[in-house]
Amino acid sequence: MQNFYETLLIVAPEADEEGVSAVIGDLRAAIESDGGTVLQARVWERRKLAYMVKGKTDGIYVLIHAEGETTLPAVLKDRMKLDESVIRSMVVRLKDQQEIDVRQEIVERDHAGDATVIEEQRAAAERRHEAEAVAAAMSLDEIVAAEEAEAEAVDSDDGDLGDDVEAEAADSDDGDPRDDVEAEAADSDDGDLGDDVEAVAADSDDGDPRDDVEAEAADSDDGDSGDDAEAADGDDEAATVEISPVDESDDDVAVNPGDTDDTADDDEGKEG
Amino acid sequence: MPRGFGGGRRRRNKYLKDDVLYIDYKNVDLLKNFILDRGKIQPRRTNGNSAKVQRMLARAIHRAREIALLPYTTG
Repeated sequence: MQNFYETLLIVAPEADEEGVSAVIGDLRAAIESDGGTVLQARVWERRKLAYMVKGKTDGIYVLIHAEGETTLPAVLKDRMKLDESVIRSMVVRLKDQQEIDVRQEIVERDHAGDATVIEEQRAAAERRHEAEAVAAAMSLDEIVAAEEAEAEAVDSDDGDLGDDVEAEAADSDDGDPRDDVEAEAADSDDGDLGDDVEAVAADSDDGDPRDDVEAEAADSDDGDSGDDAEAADGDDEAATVEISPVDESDDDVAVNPGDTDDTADDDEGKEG
Repeated sequence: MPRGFGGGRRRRNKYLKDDVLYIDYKNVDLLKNFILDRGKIQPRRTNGNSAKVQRMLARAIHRAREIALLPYTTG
């Protein structure tokens, strides 16, 4: 994406008109060779410096407006550093309203008195601005969509006895050696044989032979024989989350204690 | 506007509205209104700028100093 840059530099006061235009020409060439476009390059004004710079008390300010890639400021600064007649310089990126205003000003300068051109340019600048805003919003949506797709794709349920974790299912703990399923509550790990399932809460891994299931918390997988389930985990057939009917052999179940399929689920918890 | 202590010196800024969109660092005449005689940036408590405006202003003043349009310090 091209940005809009403003460069203000001070040329030593001894420089004559030729010297100044040599500097400008040099920078123009630098901008163009970097793939940028110069919109305006002119002497801004000659003025007294607020403090001494390289022993000079006044200087010729040169103002350049250019469009270019993000490499442009570095290119310009490098070039100006090498030029002995440039005693101070600054490159600033302009955006939003300020960019529009400056573009407008440049057009007005170029076409003094030609009202239609000015109007066209202004409209074009605004369209461009809007298009950029839309593009930014779009790319955000795409990212979100991609993440969702990934979350759904990840289920590798394995056809074991238990399974299916529900994000919101309430747990009716029964002292059963199997699992607890909790949607948002913090887990009070009880050291029982079964597992903990948590949608949001952080996991306190307990070295239990089984595993923790977390929808959003980071998973600390321990390579044990149990498994990790995801809130987004569906059961074998379905791609999305469903409440599975209570399994006869297990009860609340999220993760089957006997489950050994670790592979596909592991990374996912981390992305959650 | 009188306040709890310190007297009633606060007043709304007469040079900048709260809804300005940007402040140009090249606008030296404007910026000069917001620096003290030693070159320091005037505090917001005396000029009544909104936080947002004061941030923009401070940025503009810092930039202007960098390119020798305003002094870092005087006297």
